[in-house]
Amino acid sequence: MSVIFLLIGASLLVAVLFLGAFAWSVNSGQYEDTDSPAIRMLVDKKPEKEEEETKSDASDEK
Amino acid sequence: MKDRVLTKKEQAVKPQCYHCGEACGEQIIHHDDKVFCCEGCRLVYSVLAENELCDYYHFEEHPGLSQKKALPRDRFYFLDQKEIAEDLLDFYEETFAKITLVIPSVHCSSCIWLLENLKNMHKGILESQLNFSRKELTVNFNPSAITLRELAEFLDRIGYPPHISLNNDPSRKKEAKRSYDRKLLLKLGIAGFCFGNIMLLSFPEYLGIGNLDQHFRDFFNYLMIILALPVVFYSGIDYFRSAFKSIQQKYLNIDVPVALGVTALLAWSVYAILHNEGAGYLDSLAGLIFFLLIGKWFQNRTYQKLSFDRDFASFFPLAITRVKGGEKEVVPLRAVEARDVLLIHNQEVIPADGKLQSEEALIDYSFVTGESRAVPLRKGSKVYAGGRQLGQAIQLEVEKEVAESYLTQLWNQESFQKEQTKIQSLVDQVAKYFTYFIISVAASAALYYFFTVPGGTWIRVFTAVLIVACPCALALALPFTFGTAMNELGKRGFYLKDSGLMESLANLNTLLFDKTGTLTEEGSGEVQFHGTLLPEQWQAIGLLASQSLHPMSRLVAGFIKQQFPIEETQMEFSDFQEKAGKGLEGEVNGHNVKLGSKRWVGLQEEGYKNEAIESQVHVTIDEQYLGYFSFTQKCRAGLNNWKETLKGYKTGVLSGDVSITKDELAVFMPERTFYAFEQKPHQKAEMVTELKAEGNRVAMLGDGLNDAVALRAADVGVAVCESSSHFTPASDAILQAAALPKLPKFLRFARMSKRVIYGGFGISFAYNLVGLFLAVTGQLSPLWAAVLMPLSSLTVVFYAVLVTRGVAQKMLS
Repeated sequence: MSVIFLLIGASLLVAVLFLGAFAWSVNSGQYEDTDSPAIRMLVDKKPEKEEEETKSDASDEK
Repeated sequence: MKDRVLTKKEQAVKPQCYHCGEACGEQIIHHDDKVFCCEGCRLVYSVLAENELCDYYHFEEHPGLSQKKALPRDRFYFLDQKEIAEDLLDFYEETFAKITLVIPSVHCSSCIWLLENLKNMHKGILESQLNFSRKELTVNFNPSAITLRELAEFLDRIGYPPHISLNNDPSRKKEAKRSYDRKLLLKLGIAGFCFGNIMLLSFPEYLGIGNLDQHFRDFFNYLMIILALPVVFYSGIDYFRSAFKSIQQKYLNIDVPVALGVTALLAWSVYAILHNEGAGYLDSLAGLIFFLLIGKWFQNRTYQKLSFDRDFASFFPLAITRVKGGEKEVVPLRAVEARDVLLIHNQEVIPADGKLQSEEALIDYSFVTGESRAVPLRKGSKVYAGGRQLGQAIQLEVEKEVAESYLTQLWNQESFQKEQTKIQSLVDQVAKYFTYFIISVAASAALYYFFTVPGGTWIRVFTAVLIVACPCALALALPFTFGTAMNELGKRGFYLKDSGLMESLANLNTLLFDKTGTLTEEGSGEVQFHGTLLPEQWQAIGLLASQSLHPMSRLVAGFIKQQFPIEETQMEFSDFQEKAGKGLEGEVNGHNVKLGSKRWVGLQEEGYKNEAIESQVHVTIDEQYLGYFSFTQKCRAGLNNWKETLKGYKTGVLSGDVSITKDELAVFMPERTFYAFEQKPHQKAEMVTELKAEGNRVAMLGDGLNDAVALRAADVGVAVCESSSHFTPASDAILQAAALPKLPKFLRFARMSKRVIYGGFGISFAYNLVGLFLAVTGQLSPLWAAVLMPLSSLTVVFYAVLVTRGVAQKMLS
């Protein structure tokens, strides 16, 4: 039963890592605009011309 | 801010423009099997069609904005100046530049789609991203392929002109707000995280598995303390600060009992854990702070896309053309000095007080003074900043610097700084009684136990009372009710700066209205002719009137065109003359036609001073007087029931215009309304402060700069807004012009929401009583506390949100 020390300790550590990820996401401005991503994802991207392929990839990751 | 959809009947008569959805008036333009209301709309469509971007029209119907009132395209000329461009750009390099532009006309998903597809329309644009809620477009472009000025003009061409003003460091203000929002989110996140984990660790305690090995219990307890610390000292720090401040200022606000409760909870729990007396109430503590922060977050959701704080800097142009030694140069506004000679183009705003150098000018001061007629000026007259030049470019010599103009004085008047409302808000008042009540109950219970039961029971009871009496639910009733109410109003076109305004709205007893642009529709004019004319005479007058750019001429021409088509080619026209402010003259088919003021057409009128404010255009043909046109401004539709619905309020109309339309206003305004015309801006504000001094709670509704000081002086200042691209002065709230008729309903709704809050208080008191009972009888276990807290909060929140929505549905739909 004393393994519970280890278990709780480990789970808290993982949880704290997620908290850190949350803090990072807030600070990197992902919560600035919650309206446009919702609409943006519904938009179809037309097939790009070849030179612009790399650019559209970059914008997709935004 | 779109026009309403036309009914089927209206559609049959007036086709809708494919681009903007407005009814096509006299002009119907056909193109590509589609119908457009004006060249502007058709042009936008062509640009999109060329680039195969007609998907724009598939996301929403008629997504465009009417191009009829589009401003001259070359107004971005100042962007060619390096100095100015550099100020605006976020980043600049030979082949890569970045800029963030505010695009006020963004309003729908089509807008997002189009503005993010710019790179497919122009090679010079590399990437663009729109922040919809802030209406900010960030563009990456290649300055050697497209200059900043060309970019602005391009956006203007497709119907999304950027708004560029001195205040383009709204980023400064926004930075502060942005970091505040982020901090709140972080606090919320940490509070939630710790709350969840503490609750998890409290399970053994809940389930009564108290016979655990002491080691485990200690482990859990100490872990809980560690988790509780960031919640109290980071997430909850604002409550302590606020409570401290309010105690310093000798009054109690709602954060005082919160801080008290939190301290009691923490102190007792730590003590209990260290002395092995129990598990403490750390889960309730974390939960308390978590819920309160949610309330705060809810309350702070504001309308980011609307800017409520606007000062003169947003109104003035960024740069102006200066004439030095015969050479024209474009300079930023701050470089303008006294004695400079400025060149003001058509439709440009005059940035500084000065003396007119050109022969004539026609200035539209409607924004500054509320006068709806354009003012004609002669050489040598004084020109004030804030007016807009109509017609040919003029030159003026600057007398005072921009910052010292009459206009900026108006904005900066110290005496009208918004005073901090000394009236305590509802919840603070309740907090005061609540705190006293709780402390007295705690004290008396403690005394009782001190004398009756030996041991430490009295401490336990004392802290238990403080703990359970925490106004968690109390503090949530207000933000959630007002926040939801604010949302509901926003859906119907009435945007409040923050939810605290709901309370001020509910407390109003006096409403003051500006006339021009608020109660009357901007730019509307009903034309009537007094007299009789033969068809050829109508034609002649129409032809003459259509030669001029003067607003009155255009109204006359438009009026005539609606009834008689003017066959220009069949008439001979010559000798056109126009005298600003006086009239027009010309020869049509051999007849001399004169249109204008009484003196112009030959009717002598003694002592006739101000020809500019004349509301009549007289007609003579061949020296024979035939009658006159009269103009009345159209009052907005739908205000008819105001006589009834605004009965409980004191009402008044303050206008900078002349008293022509008092009778029309009296038709729908409540009976004891008082009218005051030709009011200067400071007079309006004086009226407001006088009324306030008498103890009234005053709201001011206006749309122009001449209302700005009054708006600030009032308890609630509402800017009535015709369209998003129009500039309105700083205000506490923004009301869409189309929603103005619903004002009485909005006010009733605000009053009702106060009652909803009382109900929320009632619910939270009920919970508090139950908890108090348990605390006083010594039965408050951590489990009970942990249950009561979230339960009471959730009940109040659900009640607040659902009831407010229901009331809105019933009252406002």
